[in-house]
Amino acid sequence: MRLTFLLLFLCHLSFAQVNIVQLMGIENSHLSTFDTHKLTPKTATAFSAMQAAALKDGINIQLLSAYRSFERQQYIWEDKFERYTAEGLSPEAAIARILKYSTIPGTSRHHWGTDIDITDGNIKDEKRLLVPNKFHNNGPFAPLHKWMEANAHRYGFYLVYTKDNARTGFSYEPWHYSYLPEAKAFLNGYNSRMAFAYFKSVGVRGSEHIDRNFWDDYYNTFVKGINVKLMGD
Amino acid sequence: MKHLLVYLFLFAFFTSCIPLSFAPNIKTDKVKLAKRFKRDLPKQQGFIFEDPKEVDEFYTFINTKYQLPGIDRKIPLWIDKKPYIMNIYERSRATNTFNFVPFIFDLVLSNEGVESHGFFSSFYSSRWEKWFVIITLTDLKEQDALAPEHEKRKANLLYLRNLQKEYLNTANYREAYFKVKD
Repeated sequence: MRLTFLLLFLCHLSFAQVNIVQLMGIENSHLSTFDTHKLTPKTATAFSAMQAAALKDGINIQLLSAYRSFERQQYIWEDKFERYTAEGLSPEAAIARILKYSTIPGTSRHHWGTDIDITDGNIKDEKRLLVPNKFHNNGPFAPLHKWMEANAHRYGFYLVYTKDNARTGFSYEPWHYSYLPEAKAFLNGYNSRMAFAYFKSVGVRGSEHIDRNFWDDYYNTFVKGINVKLMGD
Repeated sequence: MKHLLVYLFLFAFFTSCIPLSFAPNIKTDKVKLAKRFKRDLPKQQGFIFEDPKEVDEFYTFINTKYQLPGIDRKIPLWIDKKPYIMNIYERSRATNTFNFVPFIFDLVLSNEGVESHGFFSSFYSSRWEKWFVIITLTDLKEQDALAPEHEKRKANLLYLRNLQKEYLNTANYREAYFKVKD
């Protein structure tokens, strides 16, 4: 156990050098494969250690989602944009609704390979997994949440979108954790202006309704609307 | 015949002017070390073209096209999914000439004892100014992305040539903004 923590501590001391192409999910050569997912090697090591420790306590942490490419996020964005506008929402209202849970392509923390959505593999036959209430009280994922609250930080993982009224941006996500030692550095290295230039150059559906002012506001409110422990310098 | 040649030579000599410096004549574009074009520019390859439009129009075009906040002249840019920083400079170069005719007039008047006080002195030299746009491109590794050894030089130059064409052919820069998705 001590050796595991020592290894994790040493991992924390060195950070992978990543660039904006990788931080936007355009290229993923800095990631390694973990089961069917992709993570940074350090995130994978830390997650593996956390998973093993949780299993000893009867919690079977499973990855629902880890790395996500720009194209995948674009698909998610455009699918929602089309559905919401088809329901009669204006483009602006559709974007506001998407931004409750989904990011603008190129700005998702899932592009980094440090962020994970988790579930408890012991719970079977649960149809809709990512529902906040299911992680509390008598919800099926309450034990998982409780274990993570007590132990995740030991492995470098922190909840990103906390239940905190002072936090701005995305809604509460009790399933979304981030590997702080790398994610903090990645946020520092993220270039919002460069990201905006790429987003506008690709022609994502609905992007004509997102101008520079909207983007800057979104960046400050949503991308930086996270658990304060994960904030960069 | 000999006299005729002498007269022709003198006529040509005195009616013409002596160029002191030349503004370069760039038909479409030129890629060269920016610092050699103008001393205050960086030691980096520059994509240079003559700008026939008003001062600051290229900035207006770029700001509209890329939706930039205004005065920052370092522009984030993507070419073939590779990020770059584009720096834009506007510089003038002048052709300066020394004109013999007014100088000779003043000299003759002075020799004749007429107090001309350099009556034509304001015509001794002429100056024609041309304005140029100079673009440099730097990649994420802070390498000169227009340098001959840069792996993406060809694609980058193609992009800049298209940008130049678009600028010269566009009157309403809102059009350029909608073309940013090209």
